[in-house]
Amino acid sequence: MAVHTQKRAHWGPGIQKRARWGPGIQKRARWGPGILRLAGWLPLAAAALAVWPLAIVTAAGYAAAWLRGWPASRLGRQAGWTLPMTAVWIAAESARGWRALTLDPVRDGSSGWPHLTWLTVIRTFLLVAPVTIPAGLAFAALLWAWRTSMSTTRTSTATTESHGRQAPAASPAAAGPPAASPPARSPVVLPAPRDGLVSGPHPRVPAGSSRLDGILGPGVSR
Amino acid sequence: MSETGGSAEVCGARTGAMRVSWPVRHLPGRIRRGRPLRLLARALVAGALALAALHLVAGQPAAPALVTGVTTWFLLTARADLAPPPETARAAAPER
Repeated sequence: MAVHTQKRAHWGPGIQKRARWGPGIQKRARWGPGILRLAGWLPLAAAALAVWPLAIVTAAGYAAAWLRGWPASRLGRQAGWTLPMTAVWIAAESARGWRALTLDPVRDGSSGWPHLTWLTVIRTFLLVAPVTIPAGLAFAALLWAWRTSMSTTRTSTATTESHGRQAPAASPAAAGPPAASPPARSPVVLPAPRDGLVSGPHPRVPAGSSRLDGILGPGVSR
Repeated sequence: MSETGGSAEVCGARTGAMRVSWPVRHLPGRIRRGRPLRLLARALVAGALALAALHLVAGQPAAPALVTGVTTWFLLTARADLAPPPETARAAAPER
């Protein structure tokens, strides 16, 4: 009898261990979609690595628009202002022939890979910059426009569901200072950032008076 | 060609010349009343960037393009460092 009791006492933790496997299996089940999502992002990461100058410009433009709450049109205008650079590049390339015009960006883009140093990386970026800067900024503008339209749709959906509860802002700049906007006094649903204005508590503040604008210049956007 | 037609042409040319030279005439004053040091720093940065681009991609079609890009950036952003033109400043001033 005593032996049986001891055995049961011995089995106890074993059963508990089996019970502990449950969450482990759940963890594995949670890992599955994560790995799948990662696998979905891998081709995108590989594509971004292949066209890294374009990816850098796009990421920089998107980050600037997100941090400062710029509208997509502002990024588009900046892309437009870089087009004279592209025009000069096309003129200079066409002097070499139309075949060079089509092949040179590809050749220049892959020229830095064999000897990967900081200088070659910068040189490669500069060689393709007349093409990648306008294209990257335009792509960032498209992405940002898509993102803001998505957030606007979500905001309107949240408004219909919550009847005036404050919605999350599309960007940190659009959020405004938390102390300045008491939710009890102003149950305002924040819209997507609009032309030159950061939405938030009154009065509306022009977005073009920041330190980043001192570098890029408000003249680019106006 | 008649006498009046010739004088009209000269008058038109003079008006055009004045229109072109007006911003140039007011430019030193606008620089002085604006932010000259910041403008100078901007010009130095633009010059350095253009020289670096010319040095790094010398002889390539990207070199003149990059210089154009830097020049465009300077021209667009330097406006913010200038004081407003006299007419705009007068219009913006509060009436007494």
